[in-house]
Amino acid sequence: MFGYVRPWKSALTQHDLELYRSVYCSLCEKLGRDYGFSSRFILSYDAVFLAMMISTLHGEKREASVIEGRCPLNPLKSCVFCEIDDDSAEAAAAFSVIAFYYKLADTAADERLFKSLTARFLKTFFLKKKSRAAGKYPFFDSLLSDMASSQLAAEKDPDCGIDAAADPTAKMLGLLMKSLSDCEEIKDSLFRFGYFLGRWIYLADMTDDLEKDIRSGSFNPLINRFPAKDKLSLKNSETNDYCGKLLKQTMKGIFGFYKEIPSEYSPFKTITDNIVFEGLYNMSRFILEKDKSKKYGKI
Amino acid sequence: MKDPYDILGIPSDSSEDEIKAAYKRAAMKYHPDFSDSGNRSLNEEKMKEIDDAYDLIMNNMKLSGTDSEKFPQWTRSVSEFADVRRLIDRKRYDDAEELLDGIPKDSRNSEWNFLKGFILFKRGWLEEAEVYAEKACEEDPYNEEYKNLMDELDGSDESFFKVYKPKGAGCSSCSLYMSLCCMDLCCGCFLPRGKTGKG
Repeated sequence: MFGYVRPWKSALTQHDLELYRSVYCSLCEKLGRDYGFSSRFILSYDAVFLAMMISTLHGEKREASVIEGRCPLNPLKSCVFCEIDDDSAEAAAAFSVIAFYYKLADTAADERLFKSLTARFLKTFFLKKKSRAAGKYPFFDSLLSDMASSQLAAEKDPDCGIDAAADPTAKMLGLLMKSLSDCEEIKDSLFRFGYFLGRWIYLADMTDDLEKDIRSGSFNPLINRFPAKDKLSLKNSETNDYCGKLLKQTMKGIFGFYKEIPSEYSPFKTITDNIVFEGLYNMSRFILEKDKSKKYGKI
Repeated sequence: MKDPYDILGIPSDSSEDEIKAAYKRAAMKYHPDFSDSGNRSLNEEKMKEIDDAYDLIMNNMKLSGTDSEKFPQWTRSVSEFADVRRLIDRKRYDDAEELLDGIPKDSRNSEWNFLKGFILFKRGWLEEAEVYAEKACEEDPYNEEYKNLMDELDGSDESFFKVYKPKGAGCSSCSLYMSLCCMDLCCGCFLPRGKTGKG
């Protein structure tokens, strides 16, 4: 469920692209510093978006400056770091670690032997890091553990619909977004924005993984939605169109509530605009068309 | 603090235009630039009070108006489910749904379907919301309220997304506009000098 929230590179200016990369690198650095070298590998694009949203909502940073440095993973490559407020990077890093831990727990519980064993091994390895992150941000931990348990409950229900299946993820992100601002007036918009964004992520993941889920026998609400004898026939244009409709419906909600969030003063405004208005749309198209030969524009 | 409506001297159910007019009247009376200089400091204080009152009312209006502007709800005056609608107005969606679900199956009409769909829509359960909205529209295809909800839920509307397509995808009207601009620029070259200038 990671990595769907990305900018659309073709519509980014050179300046914004550099700024985006610099936030990415700073976050990687922060993960390395707070949670050890191995944590650098769990960095996802979603965490970058989260860091920028936190910075936007705290509204302290008016300008972003970058410093040149070197990538510790690949010392030959020079990269730029952003002087993003430390709180934003710290919170986004902690969130990544906790989210990754629960993702591992989920994989360990319902994948096949080999994958499950790997996940279990990694899980114990990450437990300490996760406890450290949860100690600093207990709210994130309670959000994500609530989400994991309600997701499990939803999947156990035999007539679980798409809405009900997407609800835990959506609610988690809604509450997370709501907690980012102290301003009472925009809390409702923030919750609804987060809710729809979480729903979109779930739907995108569901559409993307349909074939895989059918093969491995994992839970996917689409299998409930379109009962068929030969499950592999599910992957057809009708299902695809239906998923497209759901994704678009949800994006309509995201766009509407995103516009109500004040971000004029943020140095990341043009990037978050790009991610929301262009990134999500193009990612949806990419998932629906699913041309294996193409890759979504790498940043 | 005093009631902001009292400060502006208008009833609390005034419309936006009435509030603006009242503000203007008060400003003409007390603004230091317009009023006589005798009791300037008093006027300045009064003006500040008026400004605050106006901002407060306008901000409240904007906040309560965000949903209703986007979604003109409650167009019908007589409703069987007035209590449900009242709960929805107060954003108590769970209570409203409980009330709706308590209504026996045989007295669930198109309005029931609409309200159920509306609550689901507000909660973000768009797939199920559409099922109920569709039912409501089928039973009463000419109802504006039902149609509005259906439009909000419409995911097939490709035009909504056109705006956000990546640049350079080839928009015919843009290139047409650009070429017209270029032609316009060129016009100056072809016309005799005397006709283009200031005359």
